[in-house]
Amino acid sequence: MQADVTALIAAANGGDATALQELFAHVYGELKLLARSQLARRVRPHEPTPTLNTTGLVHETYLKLVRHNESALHDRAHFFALAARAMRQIVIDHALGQATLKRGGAGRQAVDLDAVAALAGNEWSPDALLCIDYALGRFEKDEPQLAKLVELRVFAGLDLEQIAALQGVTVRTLQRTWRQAKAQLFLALDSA
Amino acid sequence: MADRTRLKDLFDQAIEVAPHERAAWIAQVCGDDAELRAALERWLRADGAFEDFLQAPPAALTQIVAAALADGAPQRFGAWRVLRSLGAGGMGKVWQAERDDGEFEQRVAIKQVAYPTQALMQRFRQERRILARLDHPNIARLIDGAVDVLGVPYLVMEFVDGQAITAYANERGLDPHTRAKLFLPVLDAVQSAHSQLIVHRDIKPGNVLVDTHGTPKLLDFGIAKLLEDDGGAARTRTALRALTPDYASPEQIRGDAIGTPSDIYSLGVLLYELLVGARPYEIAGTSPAAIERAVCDTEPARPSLRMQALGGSSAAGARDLDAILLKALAKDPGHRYASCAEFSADLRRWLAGESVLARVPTTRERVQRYVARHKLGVALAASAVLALLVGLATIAALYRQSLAAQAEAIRQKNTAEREAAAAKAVRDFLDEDIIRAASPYLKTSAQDITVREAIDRGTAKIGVRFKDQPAIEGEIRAALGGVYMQLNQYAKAADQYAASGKLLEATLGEASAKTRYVRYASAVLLSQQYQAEKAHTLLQQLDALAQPGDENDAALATMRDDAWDMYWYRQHDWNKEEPFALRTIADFQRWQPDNLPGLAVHKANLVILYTSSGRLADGERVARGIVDELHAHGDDATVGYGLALSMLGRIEYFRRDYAAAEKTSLAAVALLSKIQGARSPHALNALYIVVRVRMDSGRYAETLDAAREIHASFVAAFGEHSVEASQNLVLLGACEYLAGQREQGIRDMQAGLAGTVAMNPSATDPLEKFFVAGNYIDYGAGKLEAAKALVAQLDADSLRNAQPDNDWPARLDALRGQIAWRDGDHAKARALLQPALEKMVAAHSPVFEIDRTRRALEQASAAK
Repeated sequence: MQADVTALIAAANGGDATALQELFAHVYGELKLLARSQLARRVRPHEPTPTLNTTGLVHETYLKLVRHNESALHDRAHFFALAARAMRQIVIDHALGQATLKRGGAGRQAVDLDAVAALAGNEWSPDALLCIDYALGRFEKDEPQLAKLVELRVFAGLDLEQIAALQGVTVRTLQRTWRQAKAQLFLALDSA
Repeated sequence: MADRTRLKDLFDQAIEVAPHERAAWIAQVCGDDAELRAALERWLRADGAFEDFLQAPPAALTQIVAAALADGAPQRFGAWRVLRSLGAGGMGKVWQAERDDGEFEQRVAIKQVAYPTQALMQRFRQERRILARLDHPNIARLIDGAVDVLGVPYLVMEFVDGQAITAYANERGLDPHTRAKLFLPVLDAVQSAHSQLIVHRDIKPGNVLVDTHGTPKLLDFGIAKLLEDDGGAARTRTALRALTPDYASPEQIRGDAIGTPSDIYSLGVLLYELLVGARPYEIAGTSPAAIERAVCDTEPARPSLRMQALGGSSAAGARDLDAILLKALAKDPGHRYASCAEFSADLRRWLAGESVLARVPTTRERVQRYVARHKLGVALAASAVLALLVGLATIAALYRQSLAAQAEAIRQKNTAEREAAAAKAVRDFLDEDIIRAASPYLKTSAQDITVREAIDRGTAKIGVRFKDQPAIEGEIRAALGGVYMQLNQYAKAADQYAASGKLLEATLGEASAKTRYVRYASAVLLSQQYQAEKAHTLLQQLDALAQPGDENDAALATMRDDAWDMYWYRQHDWNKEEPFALRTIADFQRWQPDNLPGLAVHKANLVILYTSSGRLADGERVARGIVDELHAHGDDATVGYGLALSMLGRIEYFRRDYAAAEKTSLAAVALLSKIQGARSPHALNALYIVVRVRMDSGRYAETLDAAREIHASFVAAFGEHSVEASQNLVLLGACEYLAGQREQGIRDMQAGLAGTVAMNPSATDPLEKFFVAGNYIDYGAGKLEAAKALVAQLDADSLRNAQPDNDWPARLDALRGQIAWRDGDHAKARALLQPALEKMVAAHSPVFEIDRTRRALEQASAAK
């Protein structure tokens, strides 16, 4: 993985689709490798299974891939968004194997009302994640910023403070955006 | 559609408005715009519904994400969608996939490279192009090679739906000529690759498949080269890890330079196996030294000596075939065929009856181990692993045979869907991993467990799969019975044999040797499970069906004599048992003359017979004979050896050589646990001796763990209310009592005794009664009557059985004396206890019994 990720990010930002793909692949790969090594490191006999700090994971991936730690805030934000996207991909790929939902017609998931109800109560399952993915698919074109926010929170595990710092906005502003995102999510799920 | 920005703006404001004022506010802001209002209200509803969403970071979510990140199973590779796992090959995981874009209907095998390194990736890119050029009808095509999202290289190859060439030939019972003809395309394929300077490096049956059309196809061409590490010394280790040593050439094993001659060597091994039915060398063990010794130093046995009838070919023909194979297998690469074309030409000459060009090397003395294959199941035969493999291979072969028959019938009806269904059935069965589970490198019994599960799963489906083929089902179940025997799962074995017997009787007739063989096996198990009457009835029925020509069937004879041996053993009739025990041994030697470990198992039964009938010296002689023989032949990692050690330990115990008995028995436990699992009955029998030694030596506390282990194991294996568990509960109780846990001990002894008596009166071991009686008397209050009853039983027992412990009469008297003392009849007590004590001391009876006798005597004397 010798590619200059910073350059890739720049190229991707400039609209270079190939660069974006390559970047995505790198991030995807790194995330998985890092995750596995993190989990492997901590497991000793008699210890409970470790939990993965997904936010920390994304940080580590970033540090690993990007040469200069002090990148422009702009670039970091983009990287994290990409990482969140990659995590979503990974999780959904995996959930497809785990889910009890049947596949919808064009590969899309039908929405499981039970999963949605559980989500409202902050209960999670692979099925629920598939619903989220589906819902995101429905509004990410219209509301890309909101969709990214959901990805960052759900799949990359960042909290509002961290995201606010990343995007250079106040927490208060972000809280409002978050509520919009939630509403979108629910609407997308509700009208399925 | 309402303007989104406005909508979001309003939403932001709306949520700041107090809830009870909201409706009015909305009305005011939206005015006449009904759409806007509806949208806003929807958003607000949504906001309310999802209030708790991600309020607190949920552990469940993190876990799901973590699981996803850690999981390695892919869903797709590029345009290929993964269908299912095909297991793990030499280089990494293998998946079956199909084209996802609907363009081509093609099934492929995708092989992931497990350990990619930088050098490897580079070579991968270079080689891929070369390998893709290999285009031959008998080579599975390399379609594509790429790197997946994780940067792991993978290869996309043509999926070959077929079976290994050796299995293919065996099932169809192809004669040597046909087999040789089948091999010619293989040689052509390798020649084609060699001409492009591509070496295969890993030729073995698993890589030479014959597909459903009867076309041989080579897999994995050149893959081994792709994986080769650059380091010199590392290469040997890598080579051994990645290659199958049985087919590797001497130079590959030594780590020397490899070229086309190495392929020719491997082809030689493959052809040898194809024609002869066995590999040129048996590699004992998996240590690099053993492998090197076998391949580099041992000469292969002449094929003509090992083959069954060569189908009418002349002596010259046999010699020529020897020459061909031995030339291909020459240790020195320079002495082998220079090319596959030459190899192929000579083989063609042999087929045509012409003389070949290869010359026969001079013969030398050599010692070979030969494991006989047997058709139906495996009786109490070779080491667990080997027998398991044979059994499973038999099942697989029989299964495929039936499916091949089905497929043939289907093909004749020319219905495409049903042919696909048959192929699917094969895949589904293979999916059970039955065959794959029996890897040649099964080392410890831990893997046994997976194999057991796999077998159970397959067993459950056999009835359905073979609904219309009773003959095949019968044979498969017989093979399964043998497999379960090896796993010490006697109940399951009995079920299979019983079912098999019924099926074979229905299809082959009751007089058929196969039917009777299986039903004799059932009889063995019936006796073993204490169902003597049923066993006896069955045995008499079967004997009545004896046919002329039976005397030539050593397998049948072995099973018959073994069945009678087991029956008389359970009847404790040593005189009647002995002739059968001896004949079983003789039969087995006729049946499998080179199978020493298997023979040892039968000899061990003889040892048991001798020790039970008091002929300790004879027993010891045979036991030591087994141990020495097996040790001399390097078979000291086998079940037979373990059993022999176990017997020896038992005999040493009876001789009161406690130190030796403990040592030998512990060795037996270790070995048998390793091979068969810690809970195998044989291991436990040896452990039992350890317990007895310690108990008799007064080391009561040290008995507890082992006694508990034994009991728990029997409960797990046979069930809590089984005879075996109950017997050992008595033992445990006795140990507990002696170790000071009196109440618990009494409870357990009582429960255990009740269990054995209830289950089967003839199953109660007199030894247990001794312990219990003694402990009951010692305990005193309330248990005395029970003790008396036991002593009365022991009286009857000892008259019936000759016992190895010649101190039993004395110990019985001691018990009676103790009872008399408890009853207050001191004179009688003294009369019994005094002489008893002297005899017991002289005979080194168990310490605790001597102590009690002495104490009772003292008290009875003092009371005068």
